[in-house]
Amino acid sequence: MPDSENVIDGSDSNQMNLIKGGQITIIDTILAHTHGGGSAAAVPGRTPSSISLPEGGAPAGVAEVLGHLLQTFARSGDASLRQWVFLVGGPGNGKSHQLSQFITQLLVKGAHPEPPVSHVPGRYCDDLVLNSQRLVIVNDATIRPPISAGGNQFGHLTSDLLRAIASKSYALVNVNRGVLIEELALARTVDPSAPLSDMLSWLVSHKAPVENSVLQAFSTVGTYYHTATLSPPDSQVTFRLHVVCMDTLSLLELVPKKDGFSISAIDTMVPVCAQYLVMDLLSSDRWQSPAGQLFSAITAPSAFEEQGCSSCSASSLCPFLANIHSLRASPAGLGFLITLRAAEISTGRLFTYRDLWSLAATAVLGPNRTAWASSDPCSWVSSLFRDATSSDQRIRKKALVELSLQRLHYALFPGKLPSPLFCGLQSWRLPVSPSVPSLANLRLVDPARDVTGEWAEDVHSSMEEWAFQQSPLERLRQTNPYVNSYCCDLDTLFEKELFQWLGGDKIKDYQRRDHIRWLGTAYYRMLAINAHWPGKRPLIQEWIKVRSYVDAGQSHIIDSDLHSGLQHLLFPEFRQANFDRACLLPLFSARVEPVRGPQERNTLCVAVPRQGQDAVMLEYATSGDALWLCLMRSTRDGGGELARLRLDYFSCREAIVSARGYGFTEAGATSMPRVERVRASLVTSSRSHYSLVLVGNMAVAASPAVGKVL
Amino acid sequence: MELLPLNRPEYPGSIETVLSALAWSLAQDPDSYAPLVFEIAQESSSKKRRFPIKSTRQHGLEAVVSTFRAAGISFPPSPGLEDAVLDAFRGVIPQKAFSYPALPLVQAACFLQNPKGTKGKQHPANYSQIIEQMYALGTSRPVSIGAAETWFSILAAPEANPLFAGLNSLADRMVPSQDGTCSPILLCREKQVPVNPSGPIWLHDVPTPFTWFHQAWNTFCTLAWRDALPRRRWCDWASCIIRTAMGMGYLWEAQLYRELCENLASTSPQPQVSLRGTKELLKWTGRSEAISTRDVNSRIRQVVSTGHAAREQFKSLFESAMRAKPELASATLDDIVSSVRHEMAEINPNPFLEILTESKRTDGPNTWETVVYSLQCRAETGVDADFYSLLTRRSRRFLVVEPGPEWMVVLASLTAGAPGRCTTLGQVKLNLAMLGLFPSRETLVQELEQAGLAGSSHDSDDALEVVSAF
Repeated sequence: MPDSENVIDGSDSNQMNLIKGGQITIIDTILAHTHGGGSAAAVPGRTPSSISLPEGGAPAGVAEVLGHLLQTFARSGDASLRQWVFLVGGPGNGKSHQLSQFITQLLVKGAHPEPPVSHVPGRYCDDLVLNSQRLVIVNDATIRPPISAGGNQFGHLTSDLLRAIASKSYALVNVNRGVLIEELALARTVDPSAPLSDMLSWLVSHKAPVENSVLQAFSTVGTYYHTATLSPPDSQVTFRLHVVCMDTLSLLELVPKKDGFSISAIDTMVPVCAQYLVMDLLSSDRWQSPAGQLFSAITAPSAFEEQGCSSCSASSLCPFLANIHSLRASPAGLGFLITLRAAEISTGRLFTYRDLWSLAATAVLGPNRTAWASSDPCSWVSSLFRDATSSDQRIRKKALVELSLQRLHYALFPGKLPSPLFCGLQSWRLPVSPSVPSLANLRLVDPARDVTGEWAEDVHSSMEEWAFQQSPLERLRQTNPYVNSYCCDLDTLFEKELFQWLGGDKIKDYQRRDHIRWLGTAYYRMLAINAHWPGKRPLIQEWIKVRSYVDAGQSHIIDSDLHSGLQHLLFPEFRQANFDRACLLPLFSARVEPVRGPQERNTLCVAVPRQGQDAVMLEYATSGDALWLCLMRSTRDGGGELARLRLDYFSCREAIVSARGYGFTEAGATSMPRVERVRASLVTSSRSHYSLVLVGNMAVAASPAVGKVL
Repeated sequence: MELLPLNRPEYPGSIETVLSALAWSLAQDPDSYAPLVFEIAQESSSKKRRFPIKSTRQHGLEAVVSTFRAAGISFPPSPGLEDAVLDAFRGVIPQKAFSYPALPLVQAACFLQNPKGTKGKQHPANYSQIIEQMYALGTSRPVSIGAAETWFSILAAPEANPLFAGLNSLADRMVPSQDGTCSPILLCREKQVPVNPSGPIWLHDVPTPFTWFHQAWNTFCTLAWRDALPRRRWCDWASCIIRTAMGMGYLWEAQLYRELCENLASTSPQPQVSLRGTKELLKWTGRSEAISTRDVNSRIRQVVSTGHAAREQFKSLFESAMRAKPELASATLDDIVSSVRHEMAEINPNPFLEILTESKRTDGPNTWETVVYSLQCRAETGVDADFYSLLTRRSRRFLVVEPGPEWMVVLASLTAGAPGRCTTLGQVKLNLAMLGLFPSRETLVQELEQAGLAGSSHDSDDALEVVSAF
């Protein structure tokens, strides 16, 4: 499948890795961009890139900010003002890729690189000069080695920025959050009053610095863009800082836009950011998200069928092509996107572009095979196709297993195979690729762990067909049109061979049970992807519901199980008649666990009021994609935030359980240290105006003694 | 003169005893006070003591109500009030102990017990001196303010919350003086002068558990941390730092002497003595590994017993060498080892070789107890659950590195520096390395995630953001 259109990358070396014998296939491209692949990390090159990569679009704000930098740098405008752009994020967010593209644009405009100040492998540190203007480029996405972290040497970030100040240059900085934190810690030690210390502090926290600072921050609405000016004391130049946080918004949601722009009026003191809104979980608009666009581009017919897949002899049993057809079709393709988004919400961890490439590789190609190191995946499939049509039953079965396990519904949720697998390969194990760590995030939303809902009825009933010597898959296809369109010949053949083997005399009952259970699990996953039912869907939809209220500024009228559950979880009321509604927190316990009823020993507690002017308020806040529950001081206490709790799967799970009474889940319990610390913030030494309550045995508790601070 | 100026340990039972000892080290004439404990739990065992021990837990509802009123808190008299308030001071009773320790919630509460009382001995180990020595060993600069004053000055700083003023007044009235009356403890200003020089020159800039302790103690003893944490937790964090420093400090010392022993037992040309600060003291593997592979019990026993015997042997040789060459006080470790080797040239057979071949090894029970019981979890569940341990006993035989739920919280939060700040995984690893702990990234991230301090990012390497717990 030779194709010069669909292949990538700004780096000469990366291109060399991809080009083998003059042909670059989409499969090579996909494999190269997964974790551990040769092009997983973009390396900005010196020469303009001539080829392009399937893309999903830049994260919010990047296009506007880089466009503004390009415009002002090329125009040579106001000599007293320089633009500095910071792309902040974690590894794999696409910072280097954006830089690579930006450099390409500048080189096309005639910019030329200056000799590098120092050569660091993998780090572009040339300055670019255009019309006598200098642009300092810092691509410091890699944290310093620990040995230097303990020393007093600043990293490249600080030294390069000091150089940019001295030379009154423009700057484009790619920076990892960890580097910022390290540099800030060092700056505080070395010279806390320096301009860069203020700037680093602002870059980390985005909080306005103290008065009289050389840095003046402007307020912005969005959490993905921040701007400020830096006026170093001895410089006649003011530096306008633009920070785009590339790791705060989900790539599976629509890029926030208003009138076509994420940021408008960027050159003014009052730039406006479009609001980030979370979609309904099942919304088909998810195809328009960066991730949706990326997957559409990767699975486009031009990359497969039009490159020869249609005429390939192995196409009828090719799992890659079957996966492509499934992903391209609306139910399964959208279901895949929904599953990924559900995983993000559950774990509280957003997928990066690098993760998405790895997930795309898994969805399209299945788990990575060691055989692919010596032969390309298409040849591997062709070879297995020949085996699958062999008259030797053993060879045939093995080939069908190998091919089937590359299917989407097996690959996304790798697990233990029944042993021995029906083809008799005792030592054979599903190769769970270590190069796709993001797959671990999908475990929480594995539909097979949550099959109690009505959605799973079709699989329940179809699996009973086995007892009547009928095909469960056939039944499933008949009852569910989406599954019918999803399934391919490979799935049917595989089930047929498996059931033929299971019906044999030599099979022991436990082996039969193991295989049926394993196959049933795979069918639950297949149905769930097509029915858009990731595991814990109701909980995730509750989260989205609360989030939607907050996005709409209507958190005061939230009507949700999650909302009431959170109130009960954090501040369960003391259950005693004739007592004011309050949560009682023991003042001197090793752990601040609320007192819910009479105590064996007399315990001194503080009463956390939930009503009145001293009431502690629970408010919701968003920070990019994250949803937080904030504990706010009462108005009498001066207001302000006391503590905050990230609402992820674990805390939400515990809250939902609490909403319906006492309960405990192992998953939810992992949030308890965080929940406990939120409560603990109310019994710190500085909290002084809450009532003291004595809680003891029944008699004392019936009429609690309430102390009041004068 | 010793190679490493560190008193011999004695397991204190409750770490609150050590904190009290630190406070008493600042008091006037502490030896004149009777043996004190906060609350006697087992009357029968206390009767066996050779001298009377006084309990400072005194009853009197009126006293509670009146001291609270004086502090500005109106609390109607209630039958359970006095017990509830006095229970606030009650710490976790160690196994087999006869008394409950008092938590140093306020400055006066530090004096509700003393080491003579809690250990039931007229001459217990000088815990405050041990801590001061460890504090001084952790820096290359001369110590101008000791560990005791660093901590006590923060504890004694003015409170915004009148409740603590009330508790302080109450505790003040509970400490009996020499004449049997209750009177406030007088602090001795003269004692608050430089207490220790810095550690030996050969130890300067070497990352050790003492370095960690010095840094962590300075970070912890600030008003920011005192006011950001619930007071009970602030006390527990202090105990956690102290017990971690004692356990790992003495283990490091034993490891140092063991290494010196190996060096001096060698007949080959003198190899360089490498300091153990950046090497592994305890093997920390993931919880999914088999218990037998995670066990550190036998290693601790081996290191401590060899180290103990080697120290005794080294001490006499070092003293002889010092008499001959006083300038060894400021020499490098290699020079010291050369001198000691010279001193032992005529001793046959090589005593260090005998130690290594176990013919002259002793157990060092006090050091072993201090190391293991300081680090080990006292109770995993229940009212007296211990959240701040580093080691967990899995059976009589197996002891594994498995931090309690709050141990990692303390370590990571203090690495961040101040409440509300954040740090990186790399910095946390550096701090663990000072303690001689080198968990894998996966294990460490798992611990941090369980504590709710980090969300993993598989390819952020050491740049993973770790937030302070408060």
